[in-house]
Amino acid sequence: MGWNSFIWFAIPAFICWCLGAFFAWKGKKAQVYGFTLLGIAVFFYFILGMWISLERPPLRTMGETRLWYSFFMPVAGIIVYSRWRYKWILSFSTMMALVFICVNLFKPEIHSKTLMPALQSPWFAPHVIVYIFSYALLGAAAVMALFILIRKEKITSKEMNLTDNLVYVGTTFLTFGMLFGALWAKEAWGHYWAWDPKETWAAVTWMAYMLYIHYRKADSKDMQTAAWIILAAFICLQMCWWGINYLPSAKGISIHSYN
Amino acid sequence: MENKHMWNKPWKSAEGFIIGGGLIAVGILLQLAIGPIKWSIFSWPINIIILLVLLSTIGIMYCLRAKVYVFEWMMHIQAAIPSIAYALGLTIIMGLTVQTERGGIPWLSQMLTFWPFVLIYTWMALIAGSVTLKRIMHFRVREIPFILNHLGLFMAMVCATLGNADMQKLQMTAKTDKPEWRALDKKGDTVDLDFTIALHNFTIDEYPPQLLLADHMEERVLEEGEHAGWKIKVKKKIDDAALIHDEDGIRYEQWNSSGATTAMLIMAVKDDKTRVGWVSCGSYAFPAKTLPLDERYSVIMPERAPKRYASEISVHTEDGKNVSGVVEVNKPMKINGWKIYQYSYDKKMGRWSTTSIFELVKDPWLPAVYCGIFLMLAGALCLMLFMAPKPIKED
Repeated sequence: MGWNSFIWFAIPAFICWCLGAFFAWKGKKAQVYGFTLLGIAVFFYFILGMWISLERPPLRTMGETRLWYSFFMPVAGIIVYSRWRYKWILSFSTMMALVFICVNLFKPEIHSKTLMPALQSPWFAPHVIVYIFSYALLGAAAVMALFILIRKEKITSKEMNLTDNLVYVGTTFLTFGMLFGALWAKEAWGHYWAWDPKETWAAVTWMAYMLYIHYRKADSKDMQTAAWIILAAFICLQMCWWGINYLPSAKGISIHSYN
Repeated sequence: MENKHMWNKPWKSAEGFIIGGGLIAVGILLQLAIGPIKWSIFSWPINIIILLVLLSTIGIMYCLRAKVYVFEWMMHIQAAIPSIAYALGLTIIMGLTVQTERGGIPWLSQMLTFWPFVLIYTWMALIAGSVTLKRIMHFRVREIPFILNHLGLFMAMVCATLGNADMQKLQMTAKTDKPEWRALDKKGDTVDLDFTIALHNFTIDEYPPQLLLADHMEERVLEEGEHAGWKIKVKKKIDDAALIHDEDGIRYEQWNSSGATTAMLIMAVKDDKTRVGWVSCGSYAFPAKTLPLDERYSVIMPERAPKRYASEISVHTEDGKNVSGVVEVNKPMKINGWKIYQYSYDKKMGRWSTTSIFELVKDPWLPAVYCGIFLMLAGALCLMLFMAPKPIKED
């Protein structure tokens, strides 16, 4: 299975997620779970097929990480839905998934089969999957932050609670991704932390979310500042994920440049 | 900032931002006065002394917190926020500037030896350390996630920094069946080790060969799957081949010896044009061979990408240990506190290299750093599992 057949899985999965999102507005729980999970299963079947035909986990190129992002958006969406019952969350996660599906359809990257020896490690899959999952959750938190900044009415504590929890769970996975990376780097490169540009930006991202968590724990009533911290942190995250590929300070230096 | 309330108790974050600014100013003065920090002087036993001083400072801060208000305040979250913000800001600058050993932007291109950077991180470590001590002294079960997170970060950060000067990183070039005990350090000086490494065999597995089209007009190589109208069929494939010149021109034959290259006899067809010929990726012994199709395109075989490279070695130590095994990328071998990494090989010889280059790393502080990392992992898990959503009440 390759990128040529991607569209035949992406469209049915997307339709399922749309139906799930639609029934969330109608308040029909059974259909919400049924369609969303079916879409997730269809999408995962494609990832699995890619995995088998590439003979390695599809986690190396930017296109492949976007594939996981589109997969984890509805996963994160359905988890949030089952916990807090937000009607809109599945519409949002479906839209986000669609964006990444479209990027992969219209601007696919070079998809090569080779995987260099440094990436052949049992740490590879957990390191990247955990990171992408945290990106999905922190993406949702960033949307909540925008919502807080744009909305005229007073922000309820329920909404602030959701934002906090998205950041907590997202940061947990971010911490896992970073520390798994450190443990792996020790096995592959001989040192767990070398201030490589990608590592520097991973530290920046992590500290930015730590700033948010501490700011909120300090019982700050200022929701606007909190929302701005989330947005700034999310920009740092983008920098870490793909921004450094365009950054003069990281060009040709980062040992993380694989694509 | 409401200046009229500044420095009145209780201090908030604003005071912390002023203190952080003060630390940066002091750092700049230190940088001007004594130059960048020389981390190499922190080697054993200086680093353990500094660690003990740091821990005692935290102990003293805890004991005096009722008398000295700044210590009390440092154990409060309002002090943590500015310290994180400053560390974040300096790390962003580090991420935006090229980091080099020398040259670049003065001060900022050597951020790790820049006094303000080190002072801010030290301040953050002091805060993390002192809050940890406070929570441990007032232990309650629900403080466990907090202690794990902060103690873990404190241990990982402090031990990684202080232990850095004790870390030895050497490079050893080993040739097949010639036991080697000498290695080079960063400066290029030879270091005698207390063990010898005998390389028995070095192997490279490669990915299957690829055929691609080169476009001479646009000076680029076409992507996999792009054919520009040509249909290409492989008629013969020899993994280990030698190039033979004779009266009929050139051809490739099976050859099982050092220097062998991969060759394919291919037929390319487009409309009424047919081209037949050999293509090879070449090796140290034979040049690469491409097949021109027309004025614009030729078929090429890029160098085969290595899939796995590995060294079969045995290690003999001075204290009489004998260990044999395979070292490959991502699979280092441990011996007497050293880790032996597969680092490189003789790239010119490619898969026929009889030389293997190892990196030897000894990091005595590693267990302490790992301990910190595992505490942080446990703490992060707790953050997710026990995050206590405040009671939902609509306001």
